[in-house]
Amino acid sequence: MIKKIVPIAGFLMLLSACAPVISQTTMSTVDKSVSFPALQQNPDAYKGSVVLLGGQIIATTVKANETWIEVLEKSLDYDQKPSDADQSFGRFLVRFQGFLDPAIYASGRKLTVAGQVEGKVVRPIKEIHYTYPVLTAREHYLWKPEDVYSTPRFGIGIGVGVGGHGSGGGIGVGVTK
Amino acid sequence: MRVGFVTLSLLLVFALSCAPFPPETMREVEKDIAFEDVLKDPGLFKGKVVLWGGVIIETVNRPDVTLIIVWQTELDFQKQPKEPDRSQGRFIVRYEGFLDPAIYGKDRELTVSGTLAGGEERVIGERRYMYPVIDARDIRLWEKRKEGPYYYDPWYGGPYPYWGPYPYPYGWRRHPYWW
Repeated sequence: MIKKIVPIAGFLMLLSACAPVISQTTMSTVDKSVSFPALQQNPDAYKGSVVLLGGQIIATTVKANETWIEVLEKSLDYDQKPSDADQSFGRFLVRFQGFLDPAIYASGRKLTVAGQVEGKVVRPIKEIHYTYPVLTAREHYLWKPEDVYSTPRFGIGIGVGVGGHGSGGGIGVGVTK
Repeated sequence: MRVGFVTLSLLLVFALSCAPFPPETMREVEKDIAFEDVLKDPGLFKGKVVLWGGVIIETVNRPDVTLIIVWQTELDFQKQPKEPDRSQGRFIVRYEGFLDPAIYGKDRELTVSGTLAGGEERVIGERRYMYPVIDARDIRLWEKRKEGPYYYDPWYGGPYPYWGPYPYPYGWRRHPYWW
């Protein structure tokens, strides 16, 4: 009995460890042909398209009835998780209806978002004018801070445990969302 | 010998972890009061005793009181905040006296019991936000987790599951077959 359960449980873990965080329903509306560099070149050309983007939060601004999040774009891996690398094609803005707490959606956290391209906004960054593509969020996922997901760092036994539990936790949230 | 040690540490955990709040308070706490309802209209719930928890955003010292601004989270079985990202909103803990912001600092987890005292409107960005205010009776500031409030490692500190003695939710993950 145990001998059967353990491999199945292991297989389930592996399977669920790769589960994307944005739902099938939303993903089916996403136009996967739109690349971020192209979008940034000319946001207006993609108005109305739904795109999947991710990155690291730069700032969260609360408006009267909506919340804007400025994100530094990062490429997404198979889990739809923004990468750690410094490589980025630029910044974008996401508009959310209602209130998102800037204490939670804090600078440095990773965000994956599927949203509809609304156009562009030009804002100054230091001495230049920067063109931000703007999305209206449809569905998003806020990643837990890095340490939870990191590869083994605490020695073999515990390290593997952390990995298993870490991905386990992530899925829990993803599925119930 | 080995079994004895495990049992002993489990017992110890039980003894240490299960009674963070005085029973008198726990009896008074109205468990049916939902945070979201209070958030909608804090005035309606004035005088009710609740047990809430969350993560500290900021601690403000006034001459005679300390205000702790917290984002609410659910509590686990031992009344410790869990799942910090699934917050329903913010609230303010009002404590008669001085609490050091160097200790009650940002991102620390806290559980508080006390009496609801209405609401206080403050501004977050461009939004007016009505914070429920709770007059603190008992405050429990939780030990820092090794990796901050997001870290839930049941293995914390070693192979003995002393972090959570009871319903051990990740039990089946303890022995993946490839070990």
